[in-house]
Amino acid sequence: MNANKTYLEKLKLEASNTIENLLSAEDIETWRINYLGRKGKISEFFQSFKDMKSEERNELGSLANNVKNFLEELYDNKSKSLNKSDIQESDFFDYSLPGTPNSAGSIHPTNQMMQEICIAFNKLGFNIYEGPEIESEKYAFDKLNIPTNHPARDIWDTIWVKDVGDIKSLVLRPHTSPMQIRIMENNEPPIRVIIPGKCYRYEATDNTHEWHFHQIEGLVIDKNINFSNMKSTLFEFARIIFGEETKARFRCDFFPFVEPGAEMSINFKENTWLELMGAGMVHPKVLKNVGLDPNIYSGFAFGLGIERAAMIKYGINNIRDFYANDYQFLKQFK
Amino acid sequence: MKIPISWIKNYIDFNISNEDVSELLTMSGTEVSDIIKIGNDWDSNLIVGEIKNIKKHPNADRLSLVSIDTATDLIEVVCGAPNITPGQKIAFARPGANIYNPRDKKMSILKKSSIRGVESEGMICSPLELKYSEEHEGILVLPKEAKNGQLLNDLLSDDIFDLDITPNRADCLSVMGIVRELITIFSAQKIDHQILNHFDLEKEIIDIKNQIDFKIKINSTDCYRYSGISINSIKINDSPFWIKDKLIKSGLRPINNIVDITNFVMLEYGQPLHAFDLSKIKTKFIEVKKNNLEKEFIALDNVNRELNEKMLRITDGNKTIALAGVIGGDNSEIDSTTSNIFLEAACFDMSNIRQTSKELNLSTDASYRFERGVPYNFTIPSLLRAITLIKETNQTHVEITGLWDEQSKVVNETKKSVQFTSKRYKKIIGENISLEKAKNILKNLGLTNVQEKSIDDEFELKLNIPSWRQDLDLEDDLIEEIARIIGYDNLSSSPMQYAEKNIPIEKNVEYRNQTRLEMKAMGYIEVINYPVLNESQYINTKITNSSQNPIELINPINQDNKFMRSNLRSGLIDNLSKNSKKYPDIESWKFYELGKTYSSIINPDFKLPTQNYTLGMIANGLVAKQNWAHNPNKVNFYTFKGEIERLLTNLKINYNFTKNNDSKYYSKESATIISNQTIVGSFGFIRKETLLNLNAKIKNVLYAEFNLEKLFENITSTNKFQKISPYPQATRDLSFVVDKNIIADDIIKIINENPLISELNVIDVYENLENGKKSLTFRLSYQSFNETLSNKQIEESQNKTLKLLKKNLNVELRKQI
Repeated sequence: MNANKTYLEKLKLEASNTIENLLSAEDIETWRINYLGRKGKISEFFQSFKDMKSEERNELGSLANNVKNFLEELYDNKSKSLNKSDIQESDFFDYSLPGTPNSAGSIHPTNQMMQEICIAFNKLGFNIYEGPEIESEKYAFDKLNIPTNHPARDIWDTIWVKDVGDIKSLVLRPHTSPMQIRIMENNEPPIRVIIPGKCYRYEATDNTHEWHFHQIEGLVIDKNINFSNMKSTLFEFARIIFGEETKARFRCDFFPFVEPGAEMSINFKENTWLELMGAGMVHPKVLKNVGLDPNIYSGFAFGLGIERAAMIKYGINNIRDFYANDYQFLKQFK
Repeated sequence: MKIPISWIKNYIDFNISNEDVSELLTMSGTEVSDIIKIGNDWDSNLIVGEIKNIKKHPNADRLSLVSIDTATDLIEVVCGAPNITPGQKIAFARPGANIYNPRDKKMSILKKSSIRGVESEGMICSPLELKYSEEHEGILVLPKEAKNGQLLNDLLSDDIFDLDITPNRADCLSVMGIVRELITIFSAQKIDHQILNHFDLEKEIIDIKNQIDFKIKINSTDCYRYSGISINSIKINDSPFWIKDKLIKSGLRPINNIVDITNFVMLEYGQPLHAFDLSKIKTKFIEVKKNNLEKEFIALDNVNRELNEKMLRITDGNKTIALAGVIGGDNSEIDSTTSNIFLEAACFDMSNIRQTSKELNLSTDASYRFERGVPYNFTIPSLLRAITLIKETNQTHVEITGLWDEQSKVVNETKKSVQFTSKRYKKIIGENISLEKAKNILKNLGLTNVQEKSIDDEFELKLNIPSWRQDLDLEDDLIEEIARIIGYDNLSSSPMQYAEKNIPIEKNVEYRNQTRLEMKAMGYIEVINYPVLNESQYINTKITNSSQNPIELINPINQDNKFMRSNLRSGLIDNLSKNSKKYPDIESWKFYELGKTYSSIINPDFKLPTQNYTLGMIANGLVAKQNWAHNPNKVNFYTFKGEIERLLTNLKINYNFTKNNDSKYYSKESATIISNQTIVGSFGFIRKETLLNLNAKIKNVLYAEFNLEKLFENITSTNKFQKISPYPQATRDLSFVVDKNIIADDIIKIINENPLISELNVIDVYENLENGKKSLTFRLSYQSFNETLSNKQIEESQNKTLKLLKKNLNVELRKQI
């Protein structure tokens, strides 16, 4: 045996490695006797340098003491932990006590529904854009074939914005349709996009109406797009969102920027038809307004209310719940 | 608009159910939003009776004892109605009848009862008790022809279509329009039907000699046509039952035999009529014009309205006697003594009437139709229909004393023709149409074929558009007509053909979604607030020294909340304050909003105010929920900063922090967030005063806000692999004593200049040392890519750092642990 530091380090390492794997009180006692006992390896080490010079002896002595203390602590901890686990094995254990509270937040149902719809259309080959909420009258109405003083404007009760600098005739957009124009003005066909976003109407709030709500607009423009493609695409979408069994039907409806105009209802439970969205073939006047030749290009557009889709899907029956921002309502949407 | 089926059935008969008819109309674009059933729940206890005898109730002045002949019995009942006379036919309810009780506002079974000591074996019903109309002043008086004992159901029951007519379909605002639709649908879809009566619109010229001195002049291009007839020897009276019945079921209140007929014709033909008392037009002259001589006008409803020079008026040359297309005047109204009348049927400019109606905030049955478009050629046929009805229903011998028909525009101008080709139909709809089918549908809708060409399988038509379909303008309009009559559901459906399927989502859309997921993972609940603020909210959350003007709404939903938000602060403060009040037991609050904020700076691309996405987060209370196993601390600046760092790290954004200057909103425990030298956000405790000013009864609130457009510009899209060292790390803890005003960042910057530093952490801070000093303890890890570092190497490089710290920041080593 060499009375030096290296040996001491080795001894420390060996002892700590051995004790780690011991499981029974008996083995631990043997370990104690082996290292810390009166004739154990530590005592032996102390014996080995007692004849050295005082300087070296002091240094080794203090190091050896450290190791001794360290091993004693190891022994104490190990004995304690052994005792504890022994108790637990024999004792009753309640696995059902609640864990450390999970603090998961939530995503607003409108945004969840929006995201789900976006993904569905993305799968069907649509890109996703957004656009301004404070919009000009020109884009919100005029370019969409909704002239001033036409009764069709009654469909959109509008909130108007005071002039900002020299920018006049501003509105809070009453629908996402202005983005149809902006997209067609800035992109060459083929176009396949959806545009989610907030819309506003000047109207009283009740169980099914909110002055502040969200829509998703869709637009497809290409050389050979027809009504039959529109039916197929929107039906496919409805099945992605509401399930394979969903039935869809189309009826004639009026929106000045489409012709023919349609409305799609779905039937996915309880055999009732629920209106889901407005749609139609892009009006030739709208195509002309953005410089596309209606004899070459055609396309379809559609728009649906996100809250309405969410209400149908989640079974929420009062739209006012969406923006009351009540903790108990919101926290459900994990 | 309401139309009783019985009225439609005067013109067309069919064998399918009213529900099926409603479905067909709805699918073709004429939406039946409801079918109101009259008499649906009337059983055999509701029958026709005749009042035989009326006696005073012995114990009550206002009640009468009425004996009623029900053909089988003579029954005595107690009745309190004012309008009873012997000989009247009435609706009699026997005990057991299910009738509406206006007092309880619900249906109930009628019982035999004793009223003021007299037994009553049934009841004479008011219209409301039968749910026939809202009327409850008196009893419902039935027509003389009704037979005693006849079931009321046979006499009165009806289904009423409540129709939602889209703004383009003015032609459907009449019985005639709906009948035309039904005939077209029935024949296209091969449903058996029989046409019983026609609407004759061709009868233009009638032979009436003008026997009176009366002139009409159109003095505005907004009046296209003004027709009228004068009738003498009218006796103003109640209308006969069958007219009242149709008006009531259509939702109109009967007034008198003349007004009722004007309404009747309007409902039937879609042409509004107006009746003037001829004797009240003293000038014997009607002039249609705009002027601004009179600023005020009292209408039929006795309301005094302010007029302007843009409103088209019917005048007697001087004073206004009616507002064209909107409402008649009090000064020319017919009353019970009227005997000579002038009946007006006109055609006005749609947008002028619409503007008048909007400006006066007055929508009438007439203005509703005019602003959607009334055809120019319905005036005479409607007047003729009115003459027929007046003659048929007036007890006296009426005399038509004149007819006027002035036109300001050449009527031909409005005649137009539109082309229809099978080729375009195929392009738009995606399937073929046969010539026969197309012609049949368009003909039934009133279009006339003026040209027809067939080449091989293709055909081309040129068609004249009828006056009542001014909405038909282009070929695609005719395509819709055919498609909707065939039924969209009967058209084919086929997927789009396109090449690319894997469309990448726009980056910012993805980043926003990722941000939401990160916020959710950190326990934040997403809110969506209305983006409008009141003045106090705007002022108290404004960014300090911001020179921006608020964006203001002209007609906000709530007058107070007229400013568009420029940040998300007040919304989130409000969410926190309301929820923590409502749920006082919840100790940990975390909300966020990801929404647009608006600035008066003009975005040059859109020429619109800038509208950017902003992320706001707010936290208060404990870091997390508490339970037996977990005892979390309160949120503080550094726990919040940790969350911000986690968010930025997970979004792969490089960041650092600087001192915050938004001192009106934040307390001094706040910071500005920087990424690539740009300010991207701020966070910290909200100042107490701000919360007080906003009436938010909450304390110790942490808030953070990011400009997401700027933030997302700094996302580094890919992780770059960094080589890892095969040699071990060695760790040293160092405590420094520094002046209080030295920030940790300054020290960290210098330490990080040492190339051997692989990790750095601050593990202890002690603020209150003597001489204005504080102590910061760092845990530093040293590592080399070339070798295992020896103690000596570490000491040497550490000493260099310590010298630099001493020199630049006067940092002293406190002790080595």
